[in-house]
Amino acid sequence: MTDALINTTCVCAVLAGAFVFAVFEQTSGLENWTFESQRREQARAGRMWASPVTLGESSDVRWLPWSKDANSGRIYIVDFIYTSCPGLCEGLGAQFRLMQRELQRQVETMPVSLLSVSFDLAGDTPEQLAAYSQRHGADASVWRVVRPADQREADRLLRTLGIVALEDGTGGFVHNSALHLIDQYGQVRGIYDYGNWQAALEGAGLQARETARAIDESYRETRQ
Amino acid sequence: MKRAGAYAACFTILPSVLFLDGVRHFIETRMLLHMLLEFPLLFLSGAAAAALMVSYAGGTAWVIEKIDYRGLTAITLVLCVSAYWMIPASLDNSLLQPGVALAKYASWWFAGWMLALSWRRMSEVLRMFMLGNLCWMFGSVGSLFQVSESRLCVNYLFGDQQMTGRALVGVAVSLAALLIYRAHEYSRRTGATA
Repeated sequence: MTDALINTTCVCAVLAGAFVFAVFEQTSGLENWTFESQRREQARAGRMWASPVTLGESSDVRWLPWSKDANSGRIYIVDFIYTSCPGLCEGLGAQFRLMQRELQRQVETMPVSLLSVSFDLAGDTPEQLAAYSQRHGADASVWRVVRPADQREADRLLRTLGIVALEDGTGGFVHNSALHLIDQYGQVRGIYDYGNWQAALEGAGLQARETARAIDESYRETRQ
Repeated sequence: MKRAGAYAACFTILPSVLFLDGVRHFIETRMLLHMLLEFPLLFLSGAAAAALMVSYAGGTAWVIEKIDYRGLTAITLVLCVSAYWMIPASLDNSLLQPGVALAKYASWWFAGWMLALSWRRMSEVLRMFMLGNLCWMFGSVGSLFQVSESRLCVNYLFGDQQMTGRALVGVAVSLAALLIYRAHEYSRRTGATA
């Protein structure tokens, strides 16, 4: 009987240890209990990469904003939309307009672009996207309203960013929306709440200067 | 007895419906069904498999007895498994990563299997201890789901989360009722023998 008790104690200790380990792993040290906070932590740590995607306002525009061998030095502030979204999304469009104004006002133009990417390929035709961008006064040199070339690319992009769009049962979608700072290589440099758009802009500016410096240095090295 | 065997066999193979993409999708896209249908289903399947094993190959259970003194291992396993799958991030990841999904199916099934094998060896006090633990766990998670002002899982709608919260509290209340009943019975019995 005591043998069984000793065995049991050992097995229970192992089980409890495995449990504590699994919980620590899952919550990154009891910090992140939800997927959304895990995702943001991942972005902060530089471990999140957006899959390369061809975007465009219409089907004949094929543009690759970020890729492994890019050298545009651009930083994108990306959010995900569907244009038939009532209420909330319209408010978010307004925040993009504020960011646009801020970027236009800058004396020294920063290589920062705003991107609203539609994930509702069936609903968001090029006309719908154009209407949306007109409604919000998007200046195409700063803020582009685009959609991925096909559903597969859209799904892959959402998956790599950990975004899940759910049908809400009334024809719309619910999704974990936020501002994503993505650099020219597709590395996500930060995820911000909409309300925090100033911080997102600041982060993008910092990132852009850093990238410019890195490009400068490598240019100097190649000249020497 | 034969009929009991048939029921046990049915319960054992019941979770294989989750192999059907349509069924799994229907269940797992609803938080309520995911937590309060799929989890119990897997658990019961494991338990039914254990019952079948005992009745057809009862001799093999002694191996388990060696590492499961009076059901302590089974209780530890059940409490750990149920606590782990109450974490919102675990739920989300089980839908987004196949490996985590596999761990979910296996752990719930195994917890049921283990508990059924040790149920008879367990003292009534230990059973009540387990029920009590599950009771406060479901109750607190359920109320957390209800008071949270935002979505805790990216895969579930806010309304679904609230409904699941209420249902979990409902389960906790039923467990509390069961616990009180068992405690009452237990004290009556021990009082009679004393």
